[in-house]
Amino acid sequence: MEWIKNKWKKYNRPLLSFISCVCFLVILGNVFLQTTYLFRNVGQNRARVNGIKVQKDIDVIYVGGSVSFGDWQPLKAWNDWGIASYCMGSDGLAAENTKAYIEYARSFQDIRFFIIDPKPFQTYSSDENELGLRNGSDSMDLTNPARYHMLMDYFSGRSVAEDTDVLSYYLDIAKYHTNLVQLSRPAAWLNRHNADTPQYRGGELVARIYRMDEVPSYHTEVRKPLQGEGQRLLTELLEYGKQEGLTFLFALSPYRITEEEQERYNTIQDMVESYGQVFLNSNDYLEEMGIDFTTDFFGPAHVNVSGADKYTQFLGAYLKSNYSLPDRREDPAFAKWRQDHETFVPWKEEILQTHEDYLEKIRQAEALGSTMRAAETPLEWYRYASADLFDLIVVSEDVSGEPAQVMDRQILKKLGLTGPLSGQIRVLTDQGLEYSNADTGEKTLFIERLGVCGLSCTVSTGETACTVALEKDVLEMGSQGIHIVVMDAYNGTVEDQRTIYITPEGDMCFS
Amino acid sequence: MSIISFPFFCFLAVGVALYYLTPGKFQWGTLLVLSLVFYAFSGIPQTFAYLLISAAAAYGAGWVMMYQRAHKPDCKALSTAALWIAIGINLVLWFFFKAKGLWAGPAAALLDHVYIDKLNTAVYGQWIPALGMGYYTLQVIGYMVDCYWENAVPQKNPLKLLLFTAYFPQLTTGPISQYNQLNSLYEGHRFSYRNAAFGCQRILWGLLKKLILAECVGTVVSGLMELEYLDGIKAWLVILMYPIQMYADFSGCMDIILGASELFGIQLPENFRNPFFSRTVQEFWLRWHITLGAWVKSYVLYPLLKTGGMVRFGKACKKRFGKQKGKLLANTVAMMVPWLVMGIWHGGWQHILGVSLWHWSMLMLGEWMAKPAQKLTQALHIKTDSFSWHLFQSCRTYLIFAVGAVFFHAGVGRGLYVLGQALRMFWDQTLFSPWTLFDGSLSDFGMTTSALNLMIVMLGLIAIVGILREKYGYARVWMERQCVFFRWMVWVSLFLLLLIWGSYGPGYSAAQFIYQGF
Repeated sequence: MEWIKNKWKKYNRPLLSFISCVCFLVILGNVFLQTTYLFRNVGQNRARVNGIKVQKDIDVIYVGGSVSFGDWQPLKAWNDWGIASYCMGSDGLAAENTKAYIEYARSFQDIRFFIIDPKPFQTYSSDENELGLRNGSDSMDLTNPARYHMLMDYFSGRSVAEDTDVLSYYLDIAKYHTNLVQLSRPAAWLNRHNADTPQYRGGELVARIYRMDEVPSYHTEVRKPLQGEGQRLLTELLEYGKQEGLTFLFALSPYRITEEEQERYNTIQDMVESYGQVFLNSNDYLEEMGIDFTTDFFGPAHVNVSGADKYTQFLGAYLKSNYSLPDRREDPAFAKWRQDHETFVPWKEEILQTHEDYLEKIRQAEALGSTMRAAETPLEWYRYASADLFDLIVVSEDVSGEPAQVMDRQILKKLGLTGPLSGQIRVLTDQGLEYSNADTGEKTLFIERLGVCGLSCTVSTGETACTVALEKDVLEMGSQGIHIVVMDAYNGTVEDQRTIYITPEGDMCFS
Repeated sequence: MSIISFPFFCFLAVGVALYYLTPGKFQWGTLLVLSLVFYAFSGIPQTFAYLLISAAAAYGAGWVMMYQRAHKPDCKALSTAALWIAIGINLVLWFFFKAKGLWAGPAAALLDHVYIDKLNTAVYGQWIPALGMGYYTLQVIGYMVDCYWENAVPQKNPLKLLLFTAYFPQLTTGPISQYNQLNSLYEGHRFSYRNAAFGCQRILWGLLKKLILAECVGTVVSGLMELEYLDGIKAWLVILMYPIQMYADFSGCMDIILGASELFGIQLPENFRNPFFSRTVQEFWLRWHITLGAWVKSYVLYPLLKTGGMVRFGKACKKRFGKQKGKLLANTVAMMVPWLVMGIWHGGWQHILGVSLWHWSMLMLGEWMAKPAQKLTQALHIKTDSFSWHLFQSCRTYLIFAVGAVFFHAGVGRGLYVLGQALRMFWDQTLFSPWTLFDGSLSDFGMTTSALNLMIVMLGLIAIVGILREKYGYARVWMERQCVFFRWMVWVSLFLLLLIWGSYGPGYSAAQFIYQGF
């Protein structure tokens, strides 16, 4: 007893100092973590990455870029086949993120089946992909080793600009601490433990429509090597799967695939199959799925609600017939799925209804487009063109404020495009003038999302020519007159394109 | 590797771990290796040659002094010669590489245009920016003089002397330590929780000053200084705000340095002690850049006063102007020399004007006017022991320092313009524009509401820490005596303040320390 007393007398101060030091560091570390999470952006990308920490009733994870959550509907798969799946994806996913997401998910629960989007490996380039990387690194837990492996992989393989602040990737508070507006957002405070959960098990549905031609033939037996570090990253992923005894299904979702891309997918398929895993190219089953390129996409590589329904139906059936995944519909531990499905159904129906409305609008626009193209006078033509179904891109050649040509001004006056609707580039939607270069005077105007279909568009004006570059079309126009491009607001198709001018006799004409 | 960068703190953490893992007898060796690594990553490695030459000259002089004392005790001239040669080598190096602001302009004017390219290479070549040269040169000279005066025993181990010269925390902006103050460099230290805690606290406090206050104020001052035309109010803002930036920057840097050194158990001399609490210019210079003032006093002023010429001059003055005025006159003349040395050390003509002439004249004016001012305050029945009088005196001292600092910051021409605009405001109505303080236009220069709030919070904190220091020695010693929850709350709050409002990360490039260039 005396010995203990003496020892305590001798060591109690250093011991207490040590304990208080540890406690203080724990508090400080916790404050640091919570501050870091508080300042991060809040959104579905982050929720999808972290939902896996909270939603523990999962058998399958779909890992990938936007296709993983836009094409796959976990709640439909559960309702139809009893598959308890989760979409762990983020926009613009970098190839480095794939393995990191799997490791991250497995650090919270022992999941052994992963559906993997192979696209990031096929599209890999050594260029920077900050957004894709940060969607993952700025979502994952700061202390998770998977995050650091991912960042190290990224910086060892990519050529980043010299002035890149690498530290701000590892400690993202360095980037976001100026984002003080987060302090006023309840969602940011609620997310300070970095444990947000996504809606509908990560699945997202989009009503918009992007009309495409049928896929040209892409079948080839040629094998093209993957670019840059793509091959190494895929090999490491497959090795990891082998070591851990995981099942991978590399599922390529439907999109407008090219022959060159297929050459690289052939390489991926060979690699995947050499490890005893499965590669499934759903583009080989378009007919079976019933995919329609005029109605089932909202972008060149993304299916909308209608396409997602078809793809989920196809992939769910494939999973059920090829893998022995448990049916969780009657499992009491998975009761939450029932509730989630009940909220999912009306939401999906609402989006399907919007999708139907858009289809109807597109049909109306096509009919109106025919009438418009048959118009005999510019004013009659413009009356049809200015209907709510269309977006108008109006361009004139002059670069110094109002069009220099008196005649051009006359046209604009007759079309009702003067006054507040000034500028050489104007974009008119059903909301009126949406974009104009009147304030900036810049010769080029970039529009990130135009129309209901959300196409990006670049409009340029100059003394010799005007250009309108849409995702599908690049329209070159002369320098004389007022150029008007009529675009179907609901599917991004150019319905008509005219140049209106005044003849020497003073008549307004169009061509 | 800046001392406010993440790599530096990683380096420091590794360095501290290595230091305490090394047996006490060899800990100085670890410090030397750390200093060399720091130099390699912070400065231009080739410029380490200057430091080596400097240390070698000092070692050589010390060795000669030892030899002379042991073998030729009557031949003091040998030591004297060695001392002057070594000082000469150090001064030549320093003058060429660091004082280019003094000689490059006149040299360019004198040289034929053919040699201009060569001159440019010499002045702006890649070997020129030598890290910490101004500081270690003074340290080395001080060491040699101390050895010569037998105040210090010459160091027998050249590597230990190299450590004294290159000790990494003080390479950025000093402090200028005397040899005897750094004896603990060579002693073994055991890890002390208190040292570690105090060191970290001091580093945090320094970072707060630099990354919040100095950067906030610096943005406004730089923005205003870029204006071609300054109205009166903006000129006053520049004049009054720059000393805050300077203090937050320099003292913040010192806090980081002293804190870093404390982690190794090595106490470096203080460089600041609440300078803006000073009532007079004399007092100010006992509280601002203390180690430079102390160095100049020890190695320039006192030796100068002991020279035969100065003794004779003092006697002649007393004889001619009476005891009091004669002493003041002799003092005035003698004081000019150390002030000139300080101005020259800063390395530019604007510093000679802003540091030497201005402060010397203000200091001497204070000396000469002390008696009449005392009589005046008595005649006006001013309560000189009141807080308001103290405040008035502190404001006056601040203003005097601020005027000198304008030259320091802006150079002679621009400094005169700023001061001219500030003074002209009192009779030229077109320059009087107080509404600029309230119409939001200052936000274009970074003085947004949030920046202003931050400045007020930081100045408030500095004032609290200053008062605690005046009363209790160190604020952290006072803090140590507080309840654990209060302490933790304060440190966590300060950490959060830095984390959220500090100027770091992409898009920020915290400016180099103002005193890093010397």
